[in-house]
Amino acid sequence: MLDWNEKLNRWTRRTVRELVSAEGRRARKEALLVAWPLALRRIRRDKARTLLFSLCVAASVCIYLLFSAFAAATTQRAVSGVEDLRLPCDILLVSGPESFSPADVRAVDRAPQVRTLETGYWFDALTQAGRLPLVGLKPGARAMGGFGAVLAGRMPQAAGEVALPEQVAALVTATPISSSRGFALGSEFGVRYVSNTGQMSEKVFTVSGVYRPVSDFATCVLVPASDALDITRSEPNAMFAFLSEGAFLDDAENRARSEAPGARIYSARTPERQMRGLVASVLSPSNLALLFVFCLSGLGILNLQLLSFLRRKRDIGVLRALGMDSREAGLLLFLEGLLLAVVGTILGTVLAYATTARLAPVLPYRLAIGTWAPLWAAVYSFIVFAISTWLPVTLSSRATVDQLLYNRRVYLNPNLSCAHCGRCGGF
Amino acid sequence: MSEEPILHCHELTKRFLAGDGVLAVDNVDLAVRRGEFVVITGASGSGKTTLLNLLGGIDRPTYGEVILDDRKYSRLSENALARLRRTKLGFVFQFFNLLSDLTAEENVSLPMRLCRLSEQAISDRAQMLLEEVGMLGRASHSPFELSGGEQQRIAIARALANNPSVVLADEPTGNLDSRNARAIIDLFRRFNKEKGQTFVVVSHDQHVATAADRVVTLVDGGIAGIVEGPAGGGAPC
Repeated sequence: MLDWNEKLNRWTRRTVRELVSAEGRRARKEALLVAWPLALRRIRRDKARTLLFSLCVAASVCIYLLFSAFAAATTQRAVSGVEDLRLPCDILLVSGPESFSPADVRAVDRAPQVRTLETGYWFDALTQAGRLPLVGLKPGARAMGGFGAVLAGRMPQAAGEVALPEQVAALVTATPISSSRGFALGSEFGVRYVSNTGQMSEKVFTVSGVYRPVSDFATCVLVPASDALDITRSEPNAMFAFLSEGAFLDDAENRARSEAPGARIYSARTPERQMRGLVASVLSPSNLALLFVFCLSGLGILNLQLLSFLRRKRDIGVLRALGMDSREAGLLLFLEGLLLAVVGTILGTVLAYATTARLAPVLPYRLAIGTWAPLWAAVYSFIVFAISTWLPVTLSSRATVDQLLYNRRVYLNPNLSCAHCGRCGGF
Repeated sequence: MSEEPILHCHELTKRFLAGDGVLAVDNVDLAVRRGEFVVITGASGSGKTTLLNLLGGIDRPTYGEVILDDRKYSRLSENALARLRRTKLGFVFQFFNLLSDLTAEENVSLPMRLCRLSEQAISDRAQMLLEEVGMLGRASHSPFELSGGEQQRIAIARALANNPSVVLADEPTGNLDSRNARAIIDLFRRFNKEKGQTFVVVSHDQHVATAADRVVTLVDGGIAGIVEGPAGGGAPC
């Protein structure tokens, strides 16, 4: 008994040979000449099926195109109100409680898009205002410049003294400079970090200074150098990357993602991306509903095609008895489905563009069908056509003339043991 | 009529697997001579139609062999068998089985289209055949616009379209009144006599049997007897 691999190889060889050989081309052309007029006749005659099939495809295509246009418009509106995240660097990579290995740091550093890379620390700070993320920078770090001028307290000066600027996207509004978001001079806050032994540890710091940059981007706190020693000795879990001249942010982010796969990556565009994700998650139930509608319409079309085949078993049997071979019989059903799918796709696309043009002037935002959306709609139509046509085509090809002509049950697998097991009931 | 057999079967057996297994055709040996008019008769369920289907390559035997013009069916693939049916065999069915999408002329043209003849040749031969069966005036009519007798005439023209070696007819008069049945048999007989066409007709109509060169009687799937028919005995058609 041949295994599946061998069967597949044989089938591929035979198909390729048929496709490329002159005889195969001639046979296909002749089969097309026989099947085409019959398919056209059937489409013209079977008006109910033609109408239902085309309308099903057209409605699905139209709904998809309109939905994609509305989704794109909604996303655009949501994103347009989002401000870029102001970071002290171009890209910030955070590995979570675990540290980056030296190999990870080297890999990111060697990326052509990255000009300068600094390492630092990312902590969960437990303050009076709740849990806040903090970054720790070494004195003199270039990233420190990103936090702007010191308005209160002091910048880190002693070696080993660590600045912990609060890493938040939201702007800090008018708060007393000596007490910002839970950080008050002389107050204490806890930091969770992975210690040198690899255990999760918590350390309590006393705030020795609070400062805030001009941009109000973040609040920064100073801790005494003696307190910070334990942390600076541990491996860094944050990387601050500055891009090379002319490098694209998206490229750099993708590269960073591939070099440090487990890391959380932040850039100026993170809020926009998050907003897009948020809109997508809001739209996802609608997408699911749309998919469900598509599946239903696909099933409807499959049902139509199957019914059409079952109703015409005898006709196909007569054609086979008169000498039409199984490939030509399959081609006949294939052409019918293809024609109806093409007509439905064109109809649906025209309908969608017409609706968009009609709605655009009365909507307060821009509504347009995307460049690639019609292509995806065509792909959808093709999938529906392929699934709905595969079953009747396969059945008509595999059925014997006797089964078709005398309206006997047809089975997908012509093997006798399959055909007579009786479990599936056949078609 | 030549003595040379054009279609013959040897130890032909067909067993259907449904239920306990039904032996529809049991070890049949039959040779049909070129230009012969053979009628296969028998009670309902005696295996007439199954035998005809096996002779026509519509069904495959469980055992045995069918040979048409020295070509063994068992050695042919489904598609090769389809090509053989296309060129060497013509079929006439009890329920006419004309394609309702096509006109009478297009139905007659269909086997020729399957043989990839030129449009001109198809048109000329279809007109000629329609004229011979007396249906030229109804060429553009759809099957549902025709009576049973007329539909069967079109089916006969279709069966003769590619000038097949053998025409196989399954109860061709079974769905017709006696006047139309007689007309159809006369048509068969005319083609048999004038064109030397070989006919194998399944029927339990006595009138059909009277037109036969030989009458083969089937009982329980096996041949119970073969008698020379009145036509075979030299009786006028």
